[in-house]
Amino acid sequence: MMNKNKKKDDLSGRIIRTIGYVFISFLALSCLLPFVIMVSASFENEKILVREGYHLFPKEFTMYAYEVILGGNNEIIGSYIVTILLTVIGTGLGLFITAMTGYVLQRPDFLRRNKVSLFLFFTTLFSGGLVPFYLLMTRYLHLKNNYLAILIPSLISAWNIIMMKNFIRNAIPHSVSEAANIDGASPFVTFLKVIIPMSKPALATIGLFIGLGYWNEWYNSMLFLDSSVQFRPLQLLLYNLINRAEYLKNSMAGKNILTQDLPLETVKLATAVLATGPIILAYPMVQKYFISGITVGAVKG
Amino acid sequence: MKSKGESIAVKKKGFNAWKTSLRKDRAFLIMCIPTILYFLILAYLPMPGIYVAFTNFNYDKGIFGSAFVGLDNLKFITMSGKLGVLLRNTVFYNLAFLITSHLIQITIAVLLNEIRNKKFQKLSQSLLILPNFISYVLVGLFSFAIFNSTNGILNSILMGFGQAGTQVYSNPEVWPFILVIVNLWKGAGYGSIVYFAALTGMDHEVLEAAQVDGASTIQRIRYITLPSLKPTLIILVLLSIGGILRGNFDLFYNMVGSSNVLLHNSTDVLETYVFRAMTNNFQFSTAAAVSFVQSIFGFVLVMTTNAIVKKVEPDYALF
Amino acid sequence: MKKKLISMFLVFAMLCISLMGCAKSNDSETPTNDAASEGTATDTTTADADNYTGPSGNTPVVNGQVDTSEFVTVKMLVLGDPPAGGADKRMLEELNKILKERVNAELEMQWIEWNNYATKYQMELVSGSDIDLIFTTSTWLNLWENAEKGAFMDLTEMLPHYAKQLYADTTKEEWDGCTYKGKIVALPEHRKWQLSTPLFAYRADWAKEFGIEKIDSTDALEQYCKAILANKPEAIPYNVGGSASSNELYAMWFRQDTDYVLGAGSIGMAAPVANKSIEEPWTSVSPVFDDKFIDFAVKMKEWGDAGFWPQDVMSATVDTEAAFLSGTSGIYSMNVANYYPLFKKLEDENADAELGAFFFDEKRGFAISDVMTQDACSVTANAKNPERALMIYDLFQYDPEIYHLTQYGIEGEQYIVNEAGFRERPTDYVEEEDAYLWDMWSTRNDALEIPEFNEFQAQIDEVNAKIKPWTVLNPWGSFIVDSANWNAQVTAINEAGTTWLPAIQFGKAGDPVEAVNQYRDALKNAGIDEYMAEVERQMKEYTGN
Repeated sequence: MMNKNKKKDDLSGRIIRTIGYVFISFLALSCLLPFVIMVSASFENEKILVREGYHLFPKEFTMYAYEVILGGNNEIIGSYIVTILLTVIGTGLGLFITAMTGYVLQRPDFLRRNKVSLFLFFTTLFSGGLVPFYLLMTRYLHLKNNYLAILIPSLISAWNIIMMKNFIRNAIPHSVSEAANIDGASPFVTFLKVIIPMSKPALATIGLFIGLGYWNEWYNSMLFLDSSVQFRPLQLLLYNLINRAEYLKNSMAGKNILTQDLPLETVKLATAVLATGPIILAYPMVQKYFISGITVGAVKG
Repeated sequence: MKSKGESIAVKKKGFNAWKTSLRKDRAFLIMCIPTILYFLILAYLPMPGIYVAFTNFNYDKGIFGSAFVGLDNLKFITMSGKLGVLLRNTVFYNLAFLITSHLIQITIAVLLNEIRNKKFQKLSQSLLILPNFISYVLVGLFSFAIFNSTNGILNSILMGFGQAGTQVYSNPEVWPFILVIVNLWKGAGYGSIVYFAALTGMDHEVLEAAQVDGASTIQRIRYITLPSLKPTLIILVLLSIGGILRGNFDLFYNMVGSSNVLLHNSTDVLETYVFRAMTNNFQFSTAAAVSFVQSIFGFVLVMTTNAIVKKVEPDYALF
Repeated sequence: MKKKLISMFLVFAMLCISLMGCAKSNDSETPTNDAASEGTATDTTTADADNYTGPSGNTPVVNGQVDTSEFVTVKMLVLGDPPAGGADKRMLEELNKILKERVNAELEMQWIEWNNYATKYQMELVSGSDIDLIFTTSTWLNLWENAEKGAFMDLTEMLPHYAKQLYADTTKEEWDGCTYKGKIVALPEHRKWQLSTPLFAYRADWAKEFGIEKIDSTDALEQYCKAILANKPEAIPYNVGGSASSNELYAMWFRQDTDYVLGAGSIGMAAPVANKSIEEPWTSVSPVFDDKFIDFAVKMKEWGDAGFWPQDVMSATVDTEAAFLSGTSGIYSMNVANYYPLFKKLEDENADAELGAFFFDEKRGFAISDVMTQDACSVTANAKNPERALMIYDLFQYDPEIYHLTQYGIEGEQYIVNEAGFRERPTDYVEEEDAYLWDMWSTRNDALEIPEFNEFQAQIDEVNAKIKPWTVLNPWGSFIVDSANWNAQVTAINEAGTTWLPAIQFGKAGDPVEAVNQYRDALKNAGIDEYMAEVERQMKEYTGN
């Protein structure tokens, strides 16, 4: 017992841990700082922002930028709902298929695993390009102005499958599958009953990637959803808000707001806060799976 | 008669072997069906459209009816005489990004793994991933707020120390560093999660054994932790090497601007060049041609690297 | 190795399968095209003054009478963000009641929003759209390139039968401006007077304060900017962010200091290829190779170094209009069409401010009139109801009732006409609900306009009185450079221009003489000489007949 404690606190370990605390704290702060500035600047008075630049805390606190974005219409609430639904459904479905394929591809007793891998990997390098893809989606699958046009293209990616394959191979020894096999379980049942519960960190990681993909998606929304769709995914709505100052100017025209009072800069920042806020709040839920993987080991040790 | 029967038997044997192997694979193949169908329809079905890269595209005649022009769609790049600089920058940045980002991501994951303080782990991971949520447009705005020479933060600080201000936006030498750092900053959290997840799958019995054997922390990292990240590293490198000729347009465009010629020598990549050429003049065929060359190059590179990996460490190869 | 071969084969097999799949689907498209061309072929045989079938056959002309017994839905596509309150849909309801009665048809409207409009517009055409009426323009939506690629229907024969008023009201020359290789492919914007002439809006009150009577030359502009630097610490003379399409100072230079004009053969925003002068429009030249261009570059470097625009202009993003209105910019670059509403905007922001305009064309005293296809409307090649679409379009432009409804919205909701005969907003008008737009701009017709009440009408009239006499007819008429075989050169020249011109015109390309030389080299490498020779050859061919 004593011996163990001593080992845990050996000199190199202490040095490394100290370096770790300093280095990671420094990095984490450098990542946090711009974000704090972004949030604080979104509450800043526009004129002060333009004249004096960014501050750590707003000099003159105002919610004006948010009022401008949210004021009057509930379009953004609809957008949130649509985006959350797309993210949840897409991540669930995509993760299941990704994990299933990833599991199969790492089984050494699957003879055609390399062929299928190459078949998948090839698509990361070559694509037909925009025009054929657009034709496929609109003319053959008839997905114009259909949310499926957003759901389908981001569902599975070869990249995620290959990552998943690698994770499962490293985390779960093949003997586990073999044991299940001897018990008479089919690969699918093994996957459902044994592999899924054992690969939570991998699922959380890949799930996070898929989820982020859906949350940040705007290009397909831009291409396939036109103004006749009432609620556009969040990023498209915000992209529209940011990229076209005219949109704001026009929507302000009837509100007796002067152009010079329009918080154009702060609106950009406020939209960014609105776009990232919910997913940052949701992140700890996913995160606990990465950490739990570690703690299991720690408890054992 | 006899020989005929024999050859049939041989054929049958080959066929049988194929059949047995198929039977063995059947359960696995069935599980792959959703993925295979998905990629067949969404990726392979539109793929022949690559042909548009070799045509003078015509709506009326469609992709396969348009006139074949070979590699003419690429001529505009060679005409500029800038091909060398563009290739150099694109490859240089991708290599620099590749090396630095994996280095730092692995460092973060390993250090975080050593620090057993759960709260610190959680908090720092949450913070590290923040830059991933900020769009490049905002990254561009922020860096302009820092580096601009009129009221930029950097120059205010320099002047505060009584030094002369610098002109970052007309100084090509500093840009490789700025771009590498921004790229690092933006991707560190996201990438380290992958490595961190790989570490959680580490065999803890081996770790315990090492501890009992009296290995120091540094030895444990050197001989157990790092090697366990090797497969992940190899796969990530293999995956990203295919895009070695593709520049990150969003990064370069938002950080530098499109026509800041003073910086072009160190910041112009294929994507930004094509963007300028296509301003007000968009042509599908030309865009497709550039993309095709990038794909071919990436494909050859990946196949070669994969073949080498397969020779040295067969387990780590992609296929 | 063997495995790899097999896997390669597998991939190849996939490719072949998908190729066949696509080829098949391609085949299935062709019949519709064939049907369309057959349709036109039979028309030529059966067409006489009183009897005509039309490509779709659902609206035949029998004994001079148009048979509209079959009810159809005409699809129309315009560019723009539809009004948030849905006033366009309410207008459409009203409109469709009238259309049902008049031509037994209804209209369906689609919008392509401004966000990435170019990609979405091209995609609509590429995917074999069957939109009947589609907005187009030769200045920023590649009308001629799309016509070359077969995107639009030939309207030549249909027009006299279905768009009778439009056909009667349009001259041969005006149709020529809409004709590509002998086919009328677009409907012109020809009954709305407008002149595109670029200008810098400036603060006349500031100029007076500095003792500058008016700005009508680059020297006066320089004086004004220097005075701003000296006296207005909160303002930057020209607060702007540079982009790949910045060209306003270049536009000012060649209108002020040279005889060059922009027209047939011009490439991109940087316009390194121009025409010699208004007297010699058929000579292709490059202003970049003029010695005066070096003087221009040197001058702009001087201006840039003096701080006329932000030090880091090439990487900055600035909303110049907002800056101008709020008094942090002394200049705002624009076209005259955007100048008219600026009086009101500036008055709203700052009642003491006074607006001035430095028209680049004033010195030379002429401005080339817009091409017929500045705003235009086409019928796509796969349109299902081209005949009825033309009939409706005719009503848009020439029927007073429909004109007022489409242009202004519903009377009493979007507008009222006051005692003096001016159009005004009703008192209960709410922007969020009642805002209305009609973005098929080519149907505008001055003869049917109800003038809008504008407190600045006197100023606007003054501007118009000044610029109207400058109008010079487009000397190239219907001539268009066919650049189908010159794509590489055009793309490369465009790249050289978008790379160098913005940086040179803002003096941010290092040593100006060196930069001009590099720009010239880049243009030469891109094949500008060969391209200009080709343009001249095509011009000779056109004028020589």
